[in-house]
Order: sequence, then C-alpha cells, then structure tokens
Amino acid sequence: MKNLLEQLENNEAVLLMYLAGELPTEDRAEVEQMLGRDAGLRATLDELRGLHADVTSALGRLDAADPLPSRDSAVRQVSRAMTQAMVARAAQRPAAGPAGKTLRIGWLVYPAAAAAVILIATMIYMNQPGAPLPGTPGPNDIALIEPPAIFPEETAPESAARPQLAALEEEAISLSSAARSDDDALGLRYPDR
Amino acid sequence: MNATARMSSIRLTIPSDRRPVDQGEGVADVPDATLIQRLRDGQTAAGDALVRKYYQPLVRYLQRLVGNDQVAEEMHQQTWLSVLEHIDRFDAGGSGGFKAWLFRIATNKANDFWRSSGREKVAKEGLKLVTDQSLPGADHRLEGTEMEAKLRRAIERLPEPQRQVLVLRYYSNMKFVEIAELLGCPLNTALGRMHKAMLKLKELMVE
Repeated sequence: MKNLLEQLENNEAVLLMYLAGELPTEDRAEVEQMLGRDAGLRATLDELRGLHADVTSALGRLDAADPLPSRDSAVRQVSRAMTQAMVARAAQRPAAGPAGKTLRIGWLVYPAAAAAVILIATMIYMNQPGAPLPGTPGPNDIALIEPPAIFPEETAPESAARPQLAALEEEAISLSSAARSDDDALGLRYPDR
Repeated sequence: MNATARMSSIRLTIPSDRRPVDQGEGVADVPDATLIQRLRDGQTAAGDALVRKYYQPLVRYLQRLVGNDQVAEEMHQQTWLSVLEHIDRFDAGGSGGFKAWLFRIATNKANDFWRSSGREKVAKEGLKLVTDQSLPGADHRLEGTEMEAKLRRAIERLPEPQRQVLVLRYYSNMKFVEIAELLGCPLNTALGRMHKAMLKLKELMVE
C-alpha cells in the first residue's frame, strides 16, 4: 500500500506499524530517516517497543501457567460435532441429485391426476351390478331393454312377462298406425316415413 | 551499528510459538485453500486438519476475549460449526484469507455472547463469580501466581474494543490492516486501541 504513512494520524500509529513491519518499503525508509533526525521519536519508539515486550511476555507467562485442554480430545469433540452437522446437511439435500439436474415433472402432475380420476371413476362405474358390459346395448337402445320389474321381490318368470310385453307392443303399433292415419288425413308428410 | 539500523532489526512481531502451525503432523504444509476445498467436498479429515491447525490460537483468543475457559471451548465448537455452515460462501481471494475469516466468525460469536448476556459488565461479573466458585477451571486459576491472576484481571478490565485488538493481534498474528477490516473500523482506530490497550494493561499490572 503506497502512501500509507500519510494516512496514519499520529506518531504512535506510525511507529506501531513500523515495529510490526507493515509499512511499505518507501514508507519504512522515510520513517527511518525521521528516526535518525528526531531523538524524541526514537524515545517514543523505545517506549513502544518496551511496552510491547512487557505485554507479550506477560501474555506468554499467562499462557504457560494456564495450559490448554488436550488438543486431541478437543479436536475430536469438535470434529464429531462437525461430522454430525455434515451428515445432517447431506440428509437435507434432495435425493434426486445435485440442484439443477432434478427431473422437473410439475407440469405432468395435473393431466396425470385428471387421467387417474377418469380411470378410477370408469372402473367404479364398470364394477356396479347393473352396469353394461362393453359391447352390450346402452340405455338408448329402448327395444332391447327389458322393462324394470314393478315388484322386484315378486319377480315373475320370463314366460309370464312375455304376454304383457306383446300386448304393449301391439298397443304401440296400433297407436302408431292411428297417428299415421291422422297425419294422412291432415295432409302431413314426414321425410323419414 | 547505528541507531536506525538497530531499531529496524527488532520488529514488533509475535513469538513463533503463538503462530497457528501444526505440531509435527504435516497439516501446516497443506494450504488452507486445499483443506477448505476438501471440506466443501465433504471430507471430514480436512475439517479435522483445520481445527487442529488453528486450535491453539483460536481457543486462546476466545479465552482471553470472554475470560472463561468453558465458554471459550463452547464458542470454539460453535465457531467451527459456523465455518462448516458457511464454507460455501468463503471467498479465498478475500483480505486475510481463511484465518481472518475464521477469527471474524469467532469474534462475532463472542459479540453474540456478550449481547445475549445483557450488559457487558453484568455478564462479566456473573461469569467471574461462576468461574471463581464452581467451574472446573477455577482450581488451576487459583494456583497461578499473583502476577498471573493480576494480569488475567487486567485483561478482563480492558474495554472490549481494546481487548479485541490486543488479543487478536497477539494470538492471530494478523496484520493491523486485516484486524481493522475484521473489526470494521479504520486502521487508525485499531492502532489507537492497540496502543491504549498496552498502556492500560501495563498500568493495571503495576497497580
């Protein structure tokens, strides 16, 4: 850093940086020139150096008298905690792989769900007791549908129901013929006849 | 040898035994950046190596900062868990490298501790009371010489900003420029705090 010296506000700051060896070469040379000329500055430097030596020595004594816990056991303890944290982090990551490579299927969910609902509804409908089998006549095929039993609990044999059905058919034919006669009398013509 | 040459030959540096070097296990040879990359890749051994490498300066720094061995050990662990949590955000090209980043996290942990403990003075007095009465570390503390006890008290009585700069400089051996950046203060402020801390400490020790 050039011109660092100019940024420092007082002699103590300059000398602390000088003693710490953190001044750029040019600044350091300038300080040494000043020290050579200024006895007061040299005295301040000696004071700072002595002060630093005292504090460093005192902290060293304090550390020596206050041993740290066993480094191995402390490191093991911290390492165990870190390993647990790493395992927890790994467990939180998505199983599909790294972010950005996961298969994005969000847009498939809705049509798939709709198809599933339709399929299930169809299966339920097909499994109902009265539901027609595929290929059997639907509800619009009137002539082929047997009339519902009026009294289901007294379901008559098929042979007994036939005369009633024949009578109804005859009545329907006669009504149809009568209606055609009326149309002819009125001069009405229908293209499908 | 003239006076200038004599002065420039003695520098205000930290004794080599305080520096964060591994004790004969080869970890110091592996650059931090390599260990960090391995840690990012999930290699727990790299985490062990980093913890081992910085154990002494970091624990000592926290001990002197908070004045309590048990709290310092707890913070030491929390610091490394934070390192692990934010390792992806660490920028190796930043000022001070990994060491500055590590000590910044530790400093933040200490600051959080003081904040959560309420007023600094109350917290310190409470800690001191607990330490003197019941903590396991209290015994060997009492065994120390009177001078050491006085020094310990003197460090604890330093204003927090001064103590931070002093112990950061002593234990981390970081440059003043890096310390200022770590603490978020101007360089002149950091240097002023260092000077005041040394004067105050000496004054308290001779009281």
